[in-house]
Amino acid sequence: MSSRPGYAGKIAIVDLSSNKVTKEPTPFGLLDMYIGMRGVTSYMLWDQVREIDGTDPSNLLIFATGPMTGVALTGGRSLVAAKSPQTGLIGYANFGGHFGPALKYAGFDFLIIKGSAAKPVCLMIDDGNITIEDAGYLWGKETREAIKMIRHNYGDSRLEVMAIGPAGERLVKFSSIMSYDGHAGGRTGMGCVMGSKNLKAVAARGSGLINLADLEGFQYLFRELMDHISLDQLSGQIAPSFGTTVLVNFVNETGALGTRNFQTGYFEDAEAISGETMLAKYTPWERGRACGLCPIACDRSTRVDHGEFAGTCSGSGPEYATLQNQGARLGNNNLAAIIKANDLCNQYGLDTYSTGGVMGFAYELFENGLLTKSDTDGLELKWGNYQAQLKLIKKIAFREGIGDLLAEGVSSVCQKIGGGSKHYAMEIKGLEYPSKDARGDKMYGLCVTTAARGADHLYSLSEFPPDVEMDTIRNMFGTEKAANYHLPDAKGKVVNFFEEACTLTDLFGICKLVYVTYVASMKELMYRREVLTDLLRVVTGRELDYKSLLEIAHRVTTLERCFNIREAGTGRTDDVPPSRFTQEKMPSGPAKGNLFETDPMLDEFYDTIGFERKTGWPFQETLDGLGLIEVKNELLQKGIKLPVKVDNGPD
Amino acid sequence: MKKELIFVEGNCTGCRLCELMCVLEKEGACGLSRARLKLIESDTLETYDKKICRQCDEPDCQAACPEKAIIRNSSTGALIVDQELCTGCQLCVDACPYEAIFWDTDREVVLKCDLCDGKVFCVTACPKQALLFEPI
Repeated sequence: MSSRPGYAGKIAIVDLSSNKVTKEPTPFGLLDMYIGMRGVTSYMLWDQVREIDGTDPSNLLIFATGPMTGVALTGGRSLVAAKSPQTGLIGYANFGGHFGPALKYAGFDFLIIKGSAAKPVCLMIDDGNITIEDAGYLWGKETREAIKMIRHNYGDSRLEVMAIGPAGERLVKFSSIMSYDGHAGGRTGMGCVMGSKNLKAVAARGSGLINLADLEGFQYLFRELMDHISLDQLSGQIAPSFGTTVLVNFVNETGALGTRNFQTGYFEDAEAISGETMLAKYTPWERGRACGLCPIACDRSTRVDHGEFAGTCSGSGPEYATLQNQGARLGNNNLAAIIKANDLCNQYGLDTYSTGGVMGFAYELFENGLLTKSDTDGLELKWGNYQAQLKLIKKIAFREGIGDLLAEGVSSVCQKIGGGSKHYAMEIKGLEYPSKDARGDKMYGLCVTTAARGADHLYSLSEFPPDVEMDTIRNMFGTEKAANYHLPDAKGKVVNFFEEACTLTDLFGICKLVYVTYVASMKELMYRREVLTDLLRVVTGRELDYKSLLEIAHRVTTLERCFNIREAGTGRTDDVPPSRFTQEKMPSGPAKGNLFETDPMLDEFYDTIGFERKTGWPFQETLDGLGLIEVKNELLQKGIKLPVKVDNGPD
Repeated sequence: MKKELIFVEGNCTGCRLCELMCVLEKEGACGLSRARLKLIESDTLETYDKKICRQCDEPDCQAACPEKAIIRNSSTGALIVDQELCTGCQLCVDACPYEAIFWDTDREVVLKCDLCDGKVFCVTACPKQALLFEPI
């Protein structure tokens, strides 16, 4: 039984350099300040990781759970965090599946891995016991095969394992960490950090129980949430059928489906790669696949039975953003090839977004003569050439030929190639831009522009429900235009609104799709935000009103931005979208003629979160108000002149 | 009227909410390993197998028990382990053809589905009607 309701009660620290394992109680003070999961990992990185490259052995790789992981509805979520080797900023990747609950039932809220092993190892977390084991026999294996071998070794098909593939072993900057069934800790290169530690896999199982503060209250709330989820049109009907893939057609219709490296936001062949087509042609099962403890099951397995890619079968996905990144982004309308690309990325341990991103960049450089066949090992990187795409994925994973260059990511390729390539470099703060064109979806554009981990759409997954009541929008944001994807109005407030909600789900260990996105009405959206106070009370016993929860969310996002300021000096000049979005008018589709108006939206966003417009840094008063005084002092001692409100307040 | 648990494989999404609610009911806390039913996913990720007690008419577990500790509840038809009589020999675990009796290594007791006195919390937790409780 755990010492505090909702938590496993312990932290494990594994030093791979010295082969030392220590276990400590989870500090209550950290939970009070940050609740769990991403809040705590971001604080640990702030506290312990300074001025190093992400692949330095002293970097921490932290697997983390929240109080709802393994407990509440959608509590299959967990997170892996480290300083990103790709961006030099705060790094983390949130993933579903069943690993998080297993880690927690095994007795640990957090697993901190430091140092680097002399030879390949894997970790076995078995009901409170942690062993560092030889992984020589696993090195070089693709993710699913490696996990299968580990499960076979232990004779346990329910052993939960997260592993890297050949890409992570070779320190490809955007390597992912994968589960057996295709759940990915994908973004910001966490697989690269794991590879740098010579750590092939982490396995966990446990028979532990997580106590609840109020069992009856929990059971009541469980039922209430279940009803809300099943009765809502989006979470009850559309999400279980299509999951995120329903977005392909929807986003294309708003003119934001990033196409041919974001030359435009309208893909003429969107229908061919849509969720509807995928369901009809490549999803032989009626049921979806669920992450742990999720009633929706928005994921689907796919299988290709005929043609060139017959026999391809994916455990998970592809999801919407993979359909865009491996499809529209490369002008590829061959859905079977996208399913193959998704599977290759998963098996090699590559982030499908960044891999699509760096390939899209290469394709456009090829179109413009900045790369030629002599650079690309003879590959014709022409839009829609999916054979070249599949070969390129392998080259990247194994760092072969052109793949070795691309494995460093868009930002690095851009610096090496120079010569005007910058204009085609779709990245923000070193992370490949994800899926929606900022000119066609301005709340999305501002979200990825301001996110602390680089071009990250999940930092404030900003999407209003389809049934958006304008009275509510007017009351909340001052204007109905706030809900219009094509207009810049009130987007600073909108992005803050969604950033709060997405942060809270990352602290709790629940799914942001279910609690933020899969909702059909504003009323339901507000219910799922505010129910978090009840959930926290019945699970942990902690009584916090919603305002206090929001303050904690702001504490975390501000801390993460301060980490970036300390480590990389980031500020307003880094909170900018790729130049294409501000310089080239959208050439086609429903958003034709649009540009992205960075400045007014940024101003409003900084005002909303208590940051100075000029620097994009927090006011000292903001840090004081959030209880981040040690953070303020360290930045000031470092010579970073944080603004003071009375002198620099907004006009 | 006697009812039994039925697993509809084609509806199962692998969420394990049935296991969570089973443990919540039986242990008053959250976990999965002490569930009285267990989901096993195939290597190919295409099918699920559910280790689920059928409350058999001619139960091998009952026949195997040297202590006569497995007793049928006359109202629900459930076969219930009397933990006072049970010595933990695990012969019932080995005897069950459905691998639906489990051994709790921590507490050294057998875990077996008792249909929760007909309330079947696993069934009510299933969001996809993959578990049914229907008349025999």
